[in-house]
Amino acid sequence: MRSGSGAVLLVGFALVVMLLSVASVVTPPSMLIKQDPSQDFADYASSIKEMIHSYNSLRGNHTEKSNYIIKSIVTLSKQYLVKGINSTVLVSIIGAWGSKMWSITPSGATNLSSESDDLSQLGISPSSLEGSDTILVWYALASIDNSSYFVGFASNDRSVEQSMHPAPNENTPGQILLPSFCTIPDGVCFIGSPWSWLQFPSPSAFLILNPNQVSVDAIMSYSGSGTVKNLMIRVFEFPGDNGLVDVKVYKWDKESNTITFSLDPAVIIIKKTLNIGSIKIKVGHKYNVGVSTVLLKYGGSGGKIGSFHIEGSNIKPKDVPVYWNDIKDCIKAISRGLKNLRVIGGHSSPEGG
Amino acid sequence: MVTEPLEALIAILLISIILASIFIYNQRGTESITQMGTLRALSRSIAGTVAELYLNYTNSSITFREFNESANNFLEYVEKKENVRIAANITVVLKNGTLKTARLRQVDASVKVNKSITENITLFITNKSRKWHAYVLPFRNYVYLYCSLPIPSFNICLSYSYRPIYIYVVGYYSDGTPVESGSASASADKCFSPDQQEIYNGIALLKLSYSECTSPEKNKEIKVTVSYSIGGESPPPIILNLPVKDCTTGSCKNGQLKFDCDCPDPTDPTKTKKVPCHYFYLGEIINLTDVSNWVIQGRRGPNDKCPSSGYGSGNIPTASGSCDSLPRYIFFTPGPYNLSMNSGDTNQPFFIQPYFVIVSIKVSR
Repeated sequence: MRSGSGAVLLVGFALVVMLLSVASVVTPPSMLIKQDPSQDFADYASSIKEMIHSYNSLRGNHTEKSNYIIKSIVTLSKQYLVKGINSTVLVSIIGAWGSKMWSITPSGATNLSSESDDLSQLGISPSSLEGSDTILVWYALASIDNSSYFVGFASNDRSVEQSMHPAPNENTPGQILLPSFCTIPDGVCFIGSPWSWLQFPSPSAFLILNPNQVSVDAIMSYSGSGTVKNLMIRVFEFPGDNGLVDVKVYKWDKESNTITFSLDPAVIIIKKTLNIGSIKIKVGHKYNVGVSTVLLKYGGSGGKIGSFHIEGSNIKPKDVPVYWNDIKDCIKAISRGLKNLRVIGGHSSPEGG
Repeated sequence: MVTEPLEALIAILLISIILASIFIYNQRGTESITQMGTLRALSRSIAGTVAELYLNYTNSSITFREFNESANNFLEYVEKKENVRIAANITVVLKNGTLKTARLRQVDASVKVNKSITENITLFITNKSRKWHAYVLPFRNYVYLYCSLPIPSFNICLSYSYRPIYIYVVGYYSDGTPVESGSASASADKCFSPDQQEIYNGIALLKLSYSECTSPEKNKEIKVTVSYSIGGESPPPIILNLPVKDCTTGSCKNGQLKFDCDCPDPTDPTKTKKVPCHYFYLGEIINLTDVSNWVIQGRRGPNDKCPSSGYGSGNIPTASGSCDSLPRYIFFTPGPYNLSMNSGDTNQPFFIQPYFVIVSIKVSR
């Protein structure tokens, strides 16, 4: 019994040492390094701002300029995707010739322009847009693991750009700051037209968010010298990407210039695929993050357009500075940011479903 | 079972060695994470520094070689200090979105690399500085004298005349982008009517038309005074003494940029019109007309020249070919350039539009 035990010990020892020695080579330690994307966000924002600021000095008409800008942004987005930053960029250009809009992701650019972009259809005289074009760029960035978000805005018109990031004004009740980082507040968020600074009725869309857990019944009023027409309230559906759906539950009183509407809290379903060994399990999470969106389109007949206000609601209304949002990708980006913020802020937690 | 003390010692020793091996195995993972974090921070700071060096190069009088040398000196210093190897590239984005890459520094490919991290910094160079510069460029370095009333059969000329004198005033910010607005004027001491124009997108073209003269003469000199105002500032006027050159024999040529650009009409910015294209995106071809040879002079001093000696010929692709052994997509940084054609017979300015530059740094250990 004792005569062979030394040899066994030695052989066992040699085997263990050999296994441990080759283990790190055969199966090196697997590491997942999660890096802070904030600096990449700042770099992206800086690059796109510099590019947009140079729009006026670029050669050619709006077609040539916009083609160059769009291609450059696609390249920029591709570069940052390699670094783990996903981006959705909305580019809107308006001039005496009309307006155009694109959605840009790392995979390419999509022209969103339609016949409704013809300003004359909305009773706007091209001569009222004399001077150089205005380019508005709204971008939403997300780290590849969707853990961090960044939303920003850039324009070749510095005053417009500045107006997008106003300081909080204590004298304006309900007015809050919407900084570059996506911080959608509680309450009904009414996001006005980015073109409201123009001296004519804007054809632009408005956005209302309902980041609440309950349905909101609200009355919105319009005040201004222009006349509202072509009013249309539409809703983006979550989930399903079903596109725009006209809202039937709203009342537009032309006499008093008020719109009564109801917004349900939206439900976002996020599907995940879990890999457990060789088995894949699909899990659906229902997040009641309370995002509803409404799009208003209107045109006017003359004079400076006024503004919309949430007059009455079962929850506290908030007016927020302007962002231009017209497509579901952006709404998704906002809702992702909202979900993230709410989870971090502890206001609500994801509900199983 | 009875254990001898010696065997017990051996067993304890062997178990200790096994535990140490396990500890080292775990430690390797922790070290790797730390090293990767360090490498990333290092690569990012290096990329930032090289990007700053590049920005400095585009806005200064140093040549690309001097920039490349200083960048390499810096990278070599970091390599020795941090015991790493560094590769650096500069990539430009052409008008059609394609990328062109030039190598600033490479590492020995035969050396084995354990870990490496690549960091890209994307720059779009535009007017961060509002400091402006301006200069005056005559379309011709002389006044063009021609025969307005020839009698070919007798090979004599009864009357001479001058062609208009064209003067460019070029204004740009420190980063090379054109100034947005300004005004310029010019007048001659005799024979020509004065002119005044707005500086639009960095360029004003003044035209001094021949008015009246007792007799246009050869071997004379016309004194032209050029004034300009940009951003509310008006530097002292520039005096150009342009000699009169007899071009009756057809020795003077008229090469210039082709009228192939849909540029904004200065009188109506909402419209465009065909004009000589003074603005080019990187990747475009600079088309010329009636030009046998050319030389391009940049704003970074006498060494910023293409070609460095002699002349170029044909149209000028901005993304292919080379300038003094530099690829043209590297030579052409955003900013104004002077194009001299037909051995100096004519001169015209043009701008290279701002574009994206990606500084890429790969740090290996």
